[in-house]
Amino acid sequence: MDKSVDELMWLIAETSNHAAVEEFIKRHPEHRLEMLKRMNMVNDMRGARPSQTESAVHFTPRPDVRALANPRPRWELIGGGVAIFASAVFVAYTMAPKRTTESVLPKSSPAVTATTVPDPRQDPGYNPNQNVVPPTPVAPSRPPAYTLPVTIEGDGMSLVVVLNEISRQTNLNIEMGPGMPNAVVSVNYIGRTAMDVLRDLGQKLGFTVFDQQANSVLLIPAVDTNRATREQGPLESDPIGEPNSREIPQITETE
Amino acid sequence: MSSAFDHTRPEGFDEDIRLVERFVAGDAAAFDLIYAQYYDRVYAIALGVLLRADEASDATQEIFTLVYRNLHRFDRRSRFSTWMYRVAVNRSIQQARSIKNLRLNVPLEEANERPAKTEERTSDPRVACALAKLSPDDRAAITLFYWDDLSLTEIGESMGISPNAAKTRLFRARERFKNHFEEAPE
Repeated sequence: MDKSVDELMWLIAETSNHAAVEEFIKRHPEHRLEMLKRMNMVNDMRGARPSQTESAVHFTPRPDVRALANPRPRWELIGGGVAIFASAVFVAYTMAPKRTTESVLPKSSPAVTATTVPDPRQDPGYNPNQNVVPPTPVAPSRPPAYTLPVTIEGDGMSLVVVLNEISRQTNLNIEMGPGMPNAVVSVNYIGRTAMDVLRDLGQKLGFTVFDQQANSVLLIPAVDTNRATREQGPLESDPIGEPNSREIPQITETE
Repeated sequence: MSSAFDHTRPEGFDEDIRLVERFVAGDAAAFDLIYAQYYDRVYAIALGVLLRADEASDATQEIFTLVYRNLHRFDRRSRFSTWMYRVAVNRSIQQARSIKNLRLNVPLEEANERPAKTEERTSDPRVACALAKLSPDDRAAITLFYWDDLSLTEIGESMGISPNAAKTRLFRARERFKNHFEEAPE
């Protein structure tokens, strides 16, 4: 059936215009039965409308009626969830640094608060366009290990034993260059700094002490002929003899 | 009232707006007039979608309760009747779906014990049989068109779709209804 004819048949059936029905059947006698079916269906459908009901005159709202399903409550739930999540993240973010500080630093450490870096933005002359380099925190100063006092007394001690004892008492790292003598010495140093002891031994045994920083010294088997340039390295003209062939002096230190 | 304001209104002045304004202003009796005026139409929608008189009566009371509680939200951009029909259609379709799910979950023994169709008020059993085989949305479209005599535009507004979509839905629903109607025993 042609679509236009189909729509026309529904239109005529629903308007219930008898003249239009007769005219349509005259033009399309092949659709007469279908036309009657549709009219019958429309009439039955309209006739099935519920009759006048005895509705109450006064309306009383029911207390147990829930609202229509609305997307808004779901959005409220989602919004609430997001708010809770954001709050949890915020709390975790603010608590995490505190927890780290408390666990890492001892509670009774005044040094931590004393080394707090001042905020340059609090300065009245602070220029926000200026590239500000924050001051480097100053590490607490400790005296070099070679300035610590050493007490060593003994006869017939090897140089290695003496150096080990100096290192043990002062925590000074002593490195020996190649060719250092391992002579047997008698020492008597009481309350003198480690550097004094090492220099004194160097003068007597033929090595030079170099400060390596970081609590470390290097012993080079060369005689320092110029005290003013002691720490600039050994002179090339200085001959370095065979350590083991040297005559080992007897060292006696008296206070 | 200015002519410019009148021009924004839908065709013809909506007399129901006065009742709405009276009710929102505190006149509870105005809602009784709305209730009396729309009860049959709302009940027809509920019965057309739900098919059972007892469920349609309950749904009608719920629909009016929803309208009673939410009338202050009516924004007057459409006719009050359209807004009322939309609430009725949405609630009826929602309830039809929930009832369908509920019946699907009923054990077979209990389902057989239910009194079947004793309270239906649809006068024609063929119509009732054909409607029962349609989806709630199709039943709503058929009901709004044949029982409440709404135009395609009004059906679209009541169902939340465009007039063209309403026309397409009504055409298909009518074809399905016709097929089921002709198959039903006389």
